[in-house]
Amino acid sequence: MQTKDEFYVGYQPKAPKKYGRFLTWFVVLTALVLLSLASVLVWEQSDYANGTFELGKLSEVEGVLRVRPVPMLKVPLGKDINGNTLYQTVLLIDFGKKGAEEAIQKMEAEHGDLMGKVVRLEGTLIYHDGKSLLELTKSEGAFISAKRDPNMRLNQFKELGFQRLQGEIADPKCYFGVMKPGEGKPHRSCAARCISGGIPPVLKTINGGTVEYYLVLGANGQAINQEVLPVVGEQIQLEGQVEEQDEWKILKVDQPLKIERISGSLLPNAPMCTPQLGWKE
Amino acid sequence: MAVKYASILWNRQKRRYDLAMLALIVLFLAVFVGLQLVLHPNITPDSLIIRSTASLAFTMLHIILIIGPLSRLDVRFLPLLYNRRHLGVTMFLVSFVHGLFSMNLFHNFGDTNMLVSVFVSNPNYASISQYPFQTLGFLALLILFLMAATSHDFWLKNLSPRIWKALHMLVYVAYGLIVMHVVLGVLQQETSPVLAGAVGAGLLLVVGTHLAAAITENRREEVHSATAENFVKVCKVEDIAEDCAKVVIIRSENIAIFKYDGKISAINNVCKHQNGPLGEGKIIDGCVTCPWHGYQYEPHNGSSPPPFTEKVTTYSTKVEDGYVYVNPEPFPEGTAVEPAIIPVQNV
Repeated sequence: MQTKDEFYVGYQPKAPKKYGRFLTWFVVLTALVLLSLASVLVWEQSDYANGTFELGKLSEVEGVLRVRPVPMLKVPLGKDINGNTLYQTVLLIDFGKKGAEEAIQKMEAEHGDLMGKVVRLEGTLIYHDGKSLLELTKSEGAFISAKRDPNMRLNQFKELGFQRLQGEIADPKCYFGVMKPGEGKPHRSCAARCISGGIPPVLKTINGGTVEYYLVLGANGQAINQEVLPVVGEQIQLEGQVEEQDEWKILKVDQPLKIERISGSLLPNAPMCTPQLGWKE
Repeated sequence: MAVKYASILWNRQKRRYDLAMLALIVLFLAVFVGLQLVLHPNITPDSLIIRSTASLAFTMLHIILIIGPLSRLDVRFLPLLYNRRHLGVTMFLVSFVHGLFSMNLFHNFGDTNMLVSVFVSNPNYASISQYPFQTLGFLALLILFLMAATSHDFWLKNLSPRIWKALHMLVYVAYGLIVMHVVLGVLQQETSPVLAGAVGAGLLLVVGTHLAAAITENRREEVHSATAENFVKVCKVEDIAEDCAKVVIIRSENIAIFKYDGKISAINNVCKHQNGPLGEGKIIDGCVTCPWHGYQYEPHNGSSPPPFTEKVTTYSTKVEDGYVYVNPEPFPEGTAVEPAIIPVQNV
């Protein structure tokens, strides 16, 4: 039975002793539980990819600009031991969740046709797993200069033939470094926004531990961002002709678009390919 | 209780409560963030903020939800209940940081208004595994906002206790939404059974403490049948401790029968403030004092002492042959009823 002195009233300055002792122990116990819980929650998480987004650091990058089908910059990196120039093809995207087409169009409106010209751009670099992207942080304001250089030309596409591929559609901007995790269910809405905003979708496939990335376009090289939106972040199967330009592969999906959902994410998403190597004019 | 509305009527207990709360929050965040940076150094600052605030807010919500039943099971938890709204508002602020960063990161800077984007960016409402889980978190955050915004007694008074209580019971809806937000969201990517187990254990804790409190409550309450006179025999006089009460439910009337100063009075057991159990309170300075937030009522008329205006129903009592009787027919709220006098040999 409580005595009058032990009754707790919150607006009084002091709680009765038995409450104070009990609550002191309770707070200590809660602290131990919280400490353990925070540790377990972190310990049990998956690791994050080591992609890099150089937030706050603007870099100037110069290379041959490809405007279509997807804006890219072929950047010379140096020479190999045989004296051949090495290149890195950098995918261009705009600030926010937006593709680079509009910014490039505005640059062309002011500076003329830029396709195949050596263009110097300023932006924020994103890189991971051998792929590089440049965010045009100032949109069309990223333009610095353009010139013709007969020694620097765009490559032809290398045709890799028909392939049937299984994997997840991600947006390359987040996946390659802006967000972690930049794929999967929690990131799905963001990827949908990015792809809806014109950032080219990328199909990520895994084959025996080897990861491949395919920019996904329509059969004629047109953007099909809106068509793939319903399956962003899911395991799917796509098929079509695969082309390669330097380190970027492009999957030109057969029309009408046929997308198959693969139930469960544990299924191996190995690419099943029928390569027919050749050069496309 | 206070006559005027002030933001918070600080006292030593509240300051200690808030200090302990802030210390525990800092401890949780320090361990979570510190370990993340050591074990997962590639995490981005945005993800770190989103995950740490999510984990903290979800944990705080569990504590908030179990404080109620724990207080019913052991009165020593009552100080946690008294200032629970501080914990609730703080939990909302932590949730808000989580929501704000998530909205900004996942839905801002796109081709659609971010508030619209939450609901349309993932259209798979018919699928369970692909369900747009962020909508659930968004709705839960709205509920938590409504609760935090109306947590002050000003709103309790103006909305009426019934509406206010109903609004604040939505915390259980918010909890359900958040559990599903976690299960259909991050647990679809973080597939560790330990993490799923932690969510399940939290759910069991909330449900278990509520069930335990409900079972204990039912054991405490005694149902009696009325006599022809309408008076119901409740217990012996000595079964009620001085300045304390016995609680009975008769014909759906929840009655607290108090013994004090050689007298017996009965008033409704439900406090007008937040439905606290007046019968678990005590008579202090001549007034029944609610154990939850200290609201007071005079035992003979069920009215809060002036200038307060809260009133509860009252009941007739009598003492015969050492037994306490109560008439479960309620008088209108605030009606004065002559207390039953305890014969000297029974005092």
